[in-house]
Amino acid sequence: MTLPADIDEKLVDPGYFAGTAFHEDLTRLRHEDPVHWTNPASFGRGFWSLTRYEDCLTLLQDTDNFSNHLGTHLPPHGRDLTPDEERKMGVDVNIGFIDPPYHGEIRRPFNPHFSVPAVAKMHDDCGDIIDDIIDGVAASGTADVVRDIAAPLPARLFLSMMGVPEDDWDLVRAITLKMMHPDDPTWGVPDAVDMNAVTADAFGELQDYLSQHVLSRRGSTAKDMASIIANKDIRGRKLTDREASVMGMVIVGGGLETTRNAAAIGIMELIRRPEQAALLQDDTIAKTAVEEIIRWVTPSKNRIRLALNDVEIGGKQIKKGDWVVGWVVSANRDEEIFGPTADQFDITRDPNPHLGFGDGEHICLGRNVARLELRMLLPRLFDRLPDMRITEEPTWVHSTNTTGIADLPIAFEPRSSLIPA
Amino acid sequence: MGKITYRTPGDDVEHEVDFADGDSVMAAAVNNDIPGIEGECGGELNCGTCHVYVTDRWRDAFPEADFDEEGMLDIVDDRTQDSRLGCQLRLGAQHDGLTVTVATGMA
Repeated sequence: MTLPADIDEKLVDPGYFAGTAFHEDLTRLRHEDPVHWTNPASFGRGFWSLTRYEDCLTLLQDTDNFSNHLGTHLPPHGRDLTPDEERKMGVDVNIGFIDPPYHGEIRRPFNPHFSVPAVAKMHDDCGDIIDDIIDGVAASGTADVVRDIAAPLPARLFLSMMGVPEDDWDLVRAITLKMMHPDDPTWGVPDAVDMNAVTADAFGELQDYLSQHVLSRRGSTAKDMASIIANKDIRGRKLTDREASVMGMVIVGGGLETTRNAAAIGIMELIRRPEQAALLQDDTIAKTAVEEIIRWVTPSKNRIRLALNDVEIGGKQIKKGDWVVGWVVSANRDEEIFGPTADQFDITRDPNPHLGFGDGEHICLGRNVARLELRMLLPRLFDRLPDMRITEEPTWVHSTNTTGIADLPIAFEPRSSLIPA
Repeated sequence: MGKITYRTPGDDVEHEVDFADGDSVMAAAVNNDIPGIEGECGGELNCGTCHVYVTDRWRDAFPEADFDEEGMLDIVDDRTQDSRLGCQLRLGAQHDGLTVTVATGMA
């Protein structure tokens, strides 16, 4: 196997990642040049591509040498942000962009609200939403997995939790779709000349919305997340208006798209593997299935960091100021960690130390909400509609970061709505 | 090096294991598969899955809970005055012979 000559251009081409073939090239990179200087002319800047698990883990954990200053993932283009774009993205206060100790100062007070015991209290609400979603499609005998099942669950659970009025849900979802997939033909603005500007504008729209929503909760004692953000005690102070607005933006931005994408692809893979889907009613396997889906899908393919010092990784000299991209989508298929079955989908895999939620201090804040949603959705869906079959191949999302599908039409025997026993 | 005992209330079993200086109460438990201590976040103080009770004379053997640990303890189930998060309890020679009780009620 040899690397394609145009691998550098491919790594910044959203269309290249629309599908699953890219995994072969990432495996080649992992084997042949795991710390790869990537210098695509179209991107306007070079960066390091890390494809091994251990190197990605170092990148995520070593906050002394690697800063979050560039954000969470590879932007569409390598140009610097303008001051106006930095304001829209909230880079000075956004927990995706800031480093310790400030990062911990404003994030840690929110960790308890997304902890395992806190999320467990969402169990009943999540179950009601799932039953309602399945009821909504059961009688028709056809559905689109993305539109009708995978997207509504996180939207309803998360936006309810945030206290966003139902009338505004479509607006908020439209903004986050554009923000996370600016290049995508379905969800983004594919004709735009400057995708970084599209992303920043979407951030700005979402920040404006969350600003009025969260700040209207100042002084409220309600339990919704917007009220918590507005009033949380941060060591004797509250978040500033700007911190609170951007915190709301980050939480909403993170809660909707990634869960939808993981759920949709997870359902697709399980429909294709009925022998595995049959195991989902075992609660232990439902839990390991969720981890395997996150590993397999890796809803966010990469993480970007800025080198703060000269540092060596894998025998390569990284210089202070270099951009470093950890392709966790490759790390999650690393044979050194996941063994000879690394490229197989196996919902019984355990242990499964995937990096799909990141690692270290910036680990995904909402990961336990995502786990709850998937762990509850999959057994119920395959119990109610065990004969689901795919009627058309999906349309894959165009993005160097997001792994997702835009649609997945299915059919099944029509059934009546759930009547509780 | 030293010995730490985890009492698991479900089966009332006492699990005695070794720890190395610098281990946390959470890490020593995870390294030895103690039931009820998951340590999901690896010690970043953001999952609430290493809730233990530290009683009596051992309570003063650790620094008091800080602001962030207090915030998490406000959320966990079955908090008592003995509640601590195992990830925040750093073990040294002075903790040889420590017994902690694993909290129940976690998902």
